[in-house]
Amino acid sequence: MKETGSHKERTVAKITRTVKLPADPKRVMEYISDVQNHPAFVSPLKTVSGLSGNSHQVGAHWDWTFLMAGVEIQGRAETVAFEEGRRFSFRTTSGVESTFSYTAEPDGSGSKFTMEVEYEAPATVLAKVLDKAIIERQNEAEGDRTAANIKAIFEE
Amino acid sequence: MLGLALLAIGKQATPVWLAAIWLALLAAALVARPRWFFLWFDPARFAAEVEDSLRMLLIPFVKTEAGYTLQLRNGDVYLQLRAGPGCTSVLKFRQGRKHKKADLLRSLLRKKFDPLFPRLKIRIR
Repeated sequence: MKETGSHKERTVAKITRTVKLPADPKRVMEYISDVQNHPAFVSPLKTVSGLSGNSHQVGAHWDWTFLMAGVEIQGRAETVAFEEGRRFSFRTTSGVESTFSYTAEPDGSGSKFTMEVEYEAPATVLAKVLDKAIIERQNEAEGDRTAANIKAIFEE
Repeated sequence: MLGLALLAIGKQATPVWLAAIWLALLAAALVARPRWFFLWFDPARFAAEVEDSLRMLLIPFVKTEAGYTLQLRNGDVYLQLRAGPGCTSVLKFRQGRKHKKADLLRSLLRKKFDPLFPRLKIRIR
């Protein structure tokens, strides 16, 4: 998707993955909504620190450090939605703008877990730094890895 | 592969002694691969980081004299810790088969402990 803003052109991309997990939605969302667990399943995420209060509360914020190609990139994020046993969503508030949404619903004796990541970056930066298709391919692969990691955490 | 490496070394006229050192280092790195070496080892910090990682990965564990036993659904994995000279220590992962969760634990611990060479840090606003 391409959007034209008043100042610069922006590119919006979306990644969606769904997996079945052998745990009830409440347990899945309890685990996922604790952002301090995220470095365990998001491969490039090194740390989550400085959490203000409980990540279940809308407006709670924290600092994150991503590790990419041996370089540490730090930024901030905040909770935008939380519904117990159903949904958790947060957005990054520095660098590339992105929104992460996780939902779980009952599926037999387990859950159907869906994660959605919507991210945007000014097209000019993308054009200068890296080819957009390469970034999207990398993020798609990262989406597959994250889904497989979450599945392994609940299954093994 | 070794033949190709030797051929490449031969074409660049690298001295034989240098090639021998390179091969010895490569062999040592391959042998040491399943082991992690800790410098300035702090047992309290190590235990805190490992136990925090195990909780983050929902891995039930038992702390033993040798290290940790991880009770995974398809078999146990052992983390064996051995003190070295000075403030050093060696960690070894022992497992009978491949475990995705053990791979995730290695990846998480790699992120938690600082490497020998510091990384470049960038703060974005």
